[in-house]
Amino acid sequence: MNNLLYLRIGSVFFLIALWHLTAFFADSPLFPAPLSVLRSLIEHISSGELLHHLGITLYRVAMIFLIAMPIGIAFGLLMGNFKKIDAALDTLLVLGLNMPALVVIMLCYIWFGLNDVAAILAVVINKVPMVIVNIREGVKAIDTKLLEVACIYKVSRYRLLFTFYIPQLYPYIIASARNGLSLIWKIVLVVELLGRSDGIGFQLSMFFQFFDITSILAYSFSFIVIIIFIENFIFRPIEVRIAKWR
Amino acid sequence: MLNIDIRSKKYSEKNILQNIQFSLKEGTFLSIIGPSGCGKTTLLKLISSLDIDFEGSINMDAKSIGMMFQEPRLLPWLTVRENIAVVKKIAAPEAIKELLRMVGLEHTLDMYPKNLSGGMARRVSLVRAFINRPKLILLDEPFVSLDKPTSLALQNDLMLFCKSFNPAVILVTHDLDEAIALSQKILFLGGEVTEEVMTHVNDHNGFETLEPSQVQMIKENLLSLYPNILEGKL
Repeated sequence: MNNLLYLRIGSVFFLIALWHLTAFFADSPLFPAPLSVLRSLIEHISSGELLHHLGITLYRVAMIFLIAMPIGIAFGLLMGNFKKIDAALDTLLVLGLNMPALVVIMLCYIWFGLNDVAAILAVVINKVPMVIVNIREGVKAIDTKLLEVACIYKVSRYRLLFTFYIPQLYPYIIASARNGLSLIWKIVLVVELLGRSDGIGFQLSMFFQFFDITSILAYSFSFIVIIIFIENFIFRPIEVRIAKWR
Repeated sequence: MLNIDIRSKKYSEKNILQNIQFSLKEGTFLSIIGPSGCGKTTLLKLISSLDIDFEGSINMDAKSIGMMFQEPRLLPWLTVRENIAVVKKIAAPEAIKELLRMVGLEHTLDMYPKNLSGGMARRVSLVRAFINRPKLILLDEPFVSLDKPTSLALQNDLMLFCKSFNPAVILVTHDLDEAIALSQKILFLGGEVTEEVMTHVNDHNGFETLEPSQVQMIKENLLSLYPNILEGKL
């Protein structure tokens, strides 16, 4: 375990060293060294502008996540359990899965205007089909023998759902939450770049126009910190709690 | 207690069960015996109302039933205590501990099923079957795939619970020795041609396990009386 930790930290240091060396030899403003990126990061934070935009992007990501997950889980359960619903919605699902994110974003902006509702809706539409597919797979793997136990002992519907049924889906729910979050991050930036005047995506597009690579990297790093935080302080503890019986 | 009158049960036009009538009182141990595919498990599903698609009627005055399956069927994400509590109806906080103590498993209360041996997991599922003091216990080959000593120990625990709670018991098995040793009555279910003979094997009152020598005697007697029923089927 400890050895693995050393490997983890060691590899990070190695990457930073490699980056530093490359920047040193490249000697160009288009390839800034780690230290100048860090300096830029601190500047952007102390001016308050990075936190402002990060907050807005985080808010959008959270909204999308909280809207897309329940909808996806609900439809995944319905389609997994009822053949008729599955047959009725399957084509739409395939369409949703294969519709390019960019097209959805453009259509939402054109139809609903350049506003937050359109931005959030666009990412929700991109995300929901993937959750549905994941949960539907989970439903197929449900052990009906355990549900028979619930039937024979006449447990309440509430217990049937939350004690016998949902726990079997936890791995699938966690997996789609994880994949989901990283997908939402990525698409939200595009949405912001295309049609919002705040958020990290918008900032990045500004820096891009000025070829300000240092700021682009600084903003990306603030992002990575948040993701590591979410992974270690939200997803992992939940997973450990859920998997303690394994 | 339990009255069964099944005229027919079909799976895709094929008759699985036909004309099965019997009734069962509390404190009676009935074994249903027959080769695999004869509809034993289907019969249990009908009695436990897991399957209600058949012609005929099943009446019982048992509010709750207990059941053991071929596998322990414990929920892996719940502890032993929670596994039993999740089916429990009557509020008696000490009951779970007490029944576990009777089978020597009180130390497993907070363990997860993955840490139990096969025999222990079955005993937990035995406790779960009895926790509501049901008047009817259904057993679907619960001793299958256990080694002999574990299987005998589980049978002892089963009989101990039966004596304490006096339910009606239906055991489905393909093991004639097991059926004779444990039960007062045996119902034979034959394959294609369904033949039922209700045979009294054990005239004791209450739940007694017969000695192997007695089992052999009764078995020979049965085979000479009904050679066709068992021939080539068990």
